[in-house]
Amino acid sequence: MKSANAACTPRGVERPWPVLDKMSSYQLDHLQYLETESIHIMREVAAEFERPTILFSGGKDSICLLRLAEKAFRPSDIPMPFLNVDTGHHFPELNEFRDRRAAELGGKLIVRKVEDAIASGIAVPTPGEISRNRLQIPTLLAAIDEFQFDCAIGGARRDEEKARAKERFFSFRDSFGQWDPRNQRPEIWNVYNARVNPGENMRVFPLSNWTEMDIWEYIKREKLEVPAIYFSHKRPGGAPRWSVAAGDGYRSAEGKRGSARDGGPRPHHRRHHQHRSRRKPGYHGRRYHRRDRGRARNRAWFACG
Amino acid sequence: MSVHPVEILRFNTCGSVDDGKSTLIGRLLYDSKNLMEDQIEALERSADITGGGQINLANLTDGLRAEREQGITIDVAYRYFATPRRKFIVADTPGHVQYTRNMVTGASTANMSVVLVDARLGVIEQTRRHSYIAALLGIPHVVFAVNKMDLVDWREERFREIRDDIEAFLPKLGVLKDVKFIPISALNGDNVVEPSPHTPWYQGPTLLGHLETVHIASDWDLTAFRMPVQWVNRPNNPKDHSLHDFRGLSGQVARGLVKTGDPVMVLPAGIKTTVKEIWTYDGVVQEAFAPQSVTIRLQDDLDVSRGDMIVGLENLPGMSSDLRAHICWMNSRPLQKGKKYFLKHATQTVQAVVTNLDNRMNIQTFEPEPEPAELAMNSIGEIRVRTAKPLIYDGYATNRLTGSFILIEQGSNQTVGAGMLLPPTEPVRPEYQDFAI
Repeated sequence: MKSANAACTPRGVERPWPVLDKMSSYQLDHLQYLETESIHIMREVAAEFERPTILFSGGKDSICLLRLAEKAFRPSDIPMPFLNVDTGHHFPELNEFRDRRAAELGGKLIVRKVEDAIASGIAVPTPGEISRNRLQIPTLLAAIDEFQFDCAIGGARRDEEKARAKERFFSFRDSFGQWDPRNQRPEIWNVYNARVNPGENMRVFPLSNWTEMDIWEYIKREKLEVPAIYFSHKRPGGAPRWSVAAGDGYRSAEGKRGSARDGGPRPHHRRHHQHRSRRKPGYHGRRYHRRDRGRARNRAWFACG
Repeated sequence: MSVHPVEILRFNTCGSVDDGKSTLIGRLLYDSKNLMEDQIEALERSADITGGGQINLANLTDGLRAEREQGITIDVAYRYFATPRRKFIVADTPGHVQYTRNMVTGASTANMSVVLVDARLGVIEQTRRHSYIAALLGIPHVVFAVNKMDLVDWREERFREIRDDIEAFLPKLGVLKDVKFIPISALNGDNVVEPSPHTPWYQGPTLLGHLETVHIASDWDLTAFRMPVQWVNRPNNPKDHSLHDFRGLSGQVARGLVKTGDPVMVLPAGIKTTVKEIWTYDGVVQEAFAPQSVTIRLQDDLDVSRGDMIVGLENLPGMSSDLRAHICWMNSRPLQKGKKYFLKHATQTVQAVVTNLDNRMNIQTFEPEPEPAELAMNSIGEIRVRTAKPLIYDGYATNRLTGSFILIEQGSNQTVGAGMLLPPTEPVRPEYQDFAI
């Protein structure tokens, strides 16, 4: 850690890390800061929209999203239903977890299946394409249409991919469900413009400022249940990975992003697989530099596995 | 193993085109070891193919392909990195002249602005513009990173010259509380993370060192309590019978702190009451402070709704429907006198009409030009606004969250302006001030 020490010390002065054992009592640590920001956003949604919904897949980000919803709205009921787009490729354990968690929270869970969308002609599969991530989009849009949702809260984060770094908390979609990165509304302070005309709607991403590390730390701090599947299953092909549930995958395929680079949707986890062989056993392709591994391991995910 | 609490520091980087902003952020990510192996490999691959072996750090942060082709960053992009001491949220704000609005956006939530200055060019219009915006937006800490020092042979005189130039105009900008100058080379990494061997004459911290240690605990104003009511929390048919009478007011504390039992006033009604309970999901707490999100229960059953504000009795805010404000215009359709907009302030959206354009700031001279015909995109000026309902507010310089608003165009619903309120001329004098229930 020589470099880090040098970085905060004027040259020639040997000084240990200025250790911060305790926050001043009126200061929030990083998770508390992110939490209060996200709660504020969720309450704005509840107050400003007529018919909002929360996208809930059972994935790690949406697990945090639901806890934040509890924090925002308890002791009242969470004032919006949960929506899940089921690709039909989800692990059964994940669906079981999704249903159970929604019931625990006393919320209404709406599930719309890609196969139904295919059967009714809403989603048209490309011959030879195995992944159903792309087909989630029309399925989701049809569900939004069916229930007349004017806002859908999703668990996407800006650190997931470069193209998402410019995404807003309140991301406007026109009446075709499209995102136009060139014509986004500026977002200043914490004053969010939630106005939409009939037929248009909003995607809201309360976790925008969270990193993947924050998610795991929050899961640990809040003692949130994570489906066992995160730590066990292997998909065909052998790569360990999380289920690409709607909360994770649908957005990279929506509109114009995702496709800009590789011509199609892509779960952001996939790119790690090529280096998998170099990783230690038990290190499931999470995206941290090797320096961070020990630290991260101690602090976050092994505790929740 | 005890884990130290980690704070978040938010900063934005600004500079003109080719000042090396993206390279600097790439350097911070690269040198603070926040890159994933695959990102590094991709960088090295592209370096071999196109960069003649030199890693192009800017590629890490330039997101959309179109931008990379044009070589400019066109919108605010957010990046994340961490050291053991702090976590950082970086708003990468573009430098093009026409993107003042993006810098305002990125700076609006920042604790710190890092203004890049090209050591060869010295102070240019953009430097002045960025400094002005940093001061206008009330950013608590500003760092002038004098970049490309390698191209001026690391001459101390050049660094001092630039510092003197900047210090000469800073007093005209009003309050900039904490200003620092650091000579760096983002490309080579000098004084970014590691101290540079080329600057024996510079004794200060490196840029990352400064980011890690600058005191931000006092950036939130804890002097007077304000909580805009965001959402009324009233359980419907709760199974728990004790909740039948639960009526909480949910919101984010925008300023100050509040304790159970504190006397407070609900505005605009002006009715005094006391805080009965501060409720959170994690249990009842004795006090809440900015920027926590909580649910407050009041002693008396008052008719309070979204848009109202709960305030402490000392240091009352202003309340008026005739307002003066600085505004940064963000839309290609210019701001005109007499036009109606929606105005969103804290949790309240009201109709508003712009009654006068008092002046437009000339960024070259820092002199206001009186009575302009209109304010075009990226202009900053002072306006008068009349709202359909009174706002309960503080001056922006006192508090960002209760002193700011956005203007929304009717019809298109575009966010067209960012407003910073001037301090109220007198505090609120509610009709029922002495009428305690």
